[in-house]
Amino acid sequence: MVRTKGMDASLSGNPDSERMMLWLIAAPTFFANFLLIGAMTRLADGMKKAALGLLLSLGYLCLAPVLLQLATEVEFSFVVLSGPLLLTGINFVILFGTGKKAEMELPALALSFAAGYVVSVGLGVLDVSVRPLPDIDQFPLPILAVILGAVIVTALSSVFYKLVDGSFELVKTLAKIVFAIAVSFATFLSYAVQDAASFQKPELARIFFWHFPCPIMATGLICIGAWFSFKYLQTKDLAWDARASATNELGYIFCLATMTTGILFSYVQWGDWWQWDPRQTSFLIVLLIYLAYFVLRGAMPDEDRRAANSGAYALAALGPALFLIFVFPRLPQIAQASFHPTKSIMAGEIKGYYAYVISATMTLSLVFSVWLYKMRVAASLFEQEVNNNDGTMETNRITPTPTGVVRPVRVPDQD
Amino acid sequence: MNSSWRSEIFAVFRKEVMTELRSRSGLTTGALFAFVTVVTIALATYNQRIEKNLAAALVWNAIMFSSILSLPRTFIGEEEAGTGDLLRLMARPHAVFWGKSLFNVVQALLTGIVLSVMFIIFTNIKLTVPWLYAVSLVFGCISLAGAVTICGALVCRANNRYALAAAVAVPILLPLISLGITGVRIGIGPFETDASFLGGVRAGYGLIGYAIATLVIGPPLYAAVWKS
Repeated sequence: MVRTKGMDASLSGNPDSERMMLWLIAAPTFFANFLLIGAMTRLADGMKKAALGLLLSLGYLCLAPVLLQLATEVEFSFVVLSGPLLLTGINFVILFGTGKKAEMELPALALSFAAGYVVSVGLGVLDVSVRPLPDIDQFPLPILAVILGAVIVTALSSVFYKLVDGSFELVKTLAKIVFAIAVSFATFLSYAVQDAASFQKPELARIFFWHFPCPIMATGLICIGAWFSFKYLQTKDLAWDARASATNELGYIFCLATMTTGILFSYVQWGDWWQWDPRQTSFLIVLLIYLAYFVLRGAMPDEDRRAANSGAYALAALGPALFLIFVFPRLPQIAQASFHPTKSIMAGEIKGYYAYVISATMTLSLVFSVWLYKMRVAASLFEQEVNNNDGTMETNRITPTPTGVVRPVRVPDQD
Repeated sequence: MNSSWRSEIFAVFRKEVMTELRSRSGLTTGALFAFVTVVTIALATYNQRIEKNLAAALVWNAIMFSSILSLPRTFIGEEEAGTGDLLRLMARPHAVFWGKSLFNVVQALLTGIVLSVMFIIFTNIKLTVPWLYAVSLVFGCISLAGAVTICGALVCRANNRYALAAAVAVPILLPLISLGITGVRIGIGPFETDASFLGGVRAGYGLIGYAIATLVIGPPLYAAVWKS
């Protein structure tokens, strides 16, 4: 059995790939700014919220040097990054000049969305036309960068629009289209990268792209679920329980995906489907914790009791779950026995196009989770609404409905 | 802790002791399970020397399952007897939790000590670091009692509560069991290097931390579900 920690299919040191990374950062920043202009014009008195959006954009910009680390072409990065910074400044002036008067609403937002996208793509194409593409089977990475950036910014801006109380169907529709395209590109790119030579079966190393985001998402969702449970116990508002339950359901799905892809990963790299590796075992127990949470919920018909008891369990299980994920696999005697890499990210072993694809799959997983979460919470809240209005929602309770036919229901207005 | 709290906690504890002395079901179940387990292990390994890793795992599995069988009774029995509502009228949730935890700690310690002594005698194991073995056992049992008490409190009004108590408790007990196994394994010894010994000591610290954590978070969690 060959021990291989991490992977190195790096293209780092290639200035073209670094330049593409700059675009990955810069394009969405432009995009964010144009979206921001649209948002600012429709604000009557939401100055603080607009400033928050501005900070969001600036914060995103500040991330650039951190993510880059290796910006060897200082002049180029200065040009690319100072452009969005200038644009942010202009937006700031516009904000103070028109913030309280203009009411452009939807057309302005649509226009700014389109303008931002065109400018981003245009600049990306302009940059690429100056220099040749990096050799990755002639795949146009800047386009991926722009699309990925659009996905990130769409997600961030939807949070922003939510803050300003805006209903923005166009962004939602476009976001879905962009998301679908981004998933296709990320999948395509995951096949286009070089084989990881250090793997026993180099071509199958690509399972890593789809394995890596799953445990991260599952871990994050455990913590968020515990927080929602805490909020329920604090407020006794069933909406928090719906959120906690939705989060844990998603976490459970990601946990299952972790196990499935992990088993494949184990087979590809270590030659065995299951070998009781401490990492595999610890995640199996986390899966059991999730399962116990749902079993507990299922055993309590009363919704208040179910919410309180499962919430308390989620909080009680948080410590053991975090111990299993973070501490147990790193205990000296356990770590020695494990084949699973533990420092690939921190030691910078994932570089070049592998880093790009993993960033893409991480982002897409995040966006997908938020999407599913929102739908699940909406369904749960509707279910609660139906239960609370039992007897007043059915249109006709006298005529019996045939088996298998769903009665039309009406949700009463909440005045 | 003022005298009001103390008297309330000891009243709950005394009530549990009286109930147990009347029926003796919890202790009898735990002790019988422990005895049967040890005899079975001794019989299965007759004329063989048990390897230390296996010995530690067997001890902790026996303790865990005998605790899961007997400890949740403190809350579940209350609901079955119909006295839960009366208790909710008479006492504060923190006092109830502490009183019942205290009783469960005593019960878990008794079971753990009896089981360990029997295991050592029946399987002829020699302890290299007795104090580490004792620390792991004592704090492991305290943690176990705290965690199982929380789970018992959470499932006491659910359907199929006994099976559910085990299903809900086992996943959150497994980290504790892994620490307990490490401590007991080094306690049995012999250990190969100083690093192994230090690993055992760290596991002991981990168990102390786990015990504190379960007994600290238990009361507020129980208070949150107290009247639901």
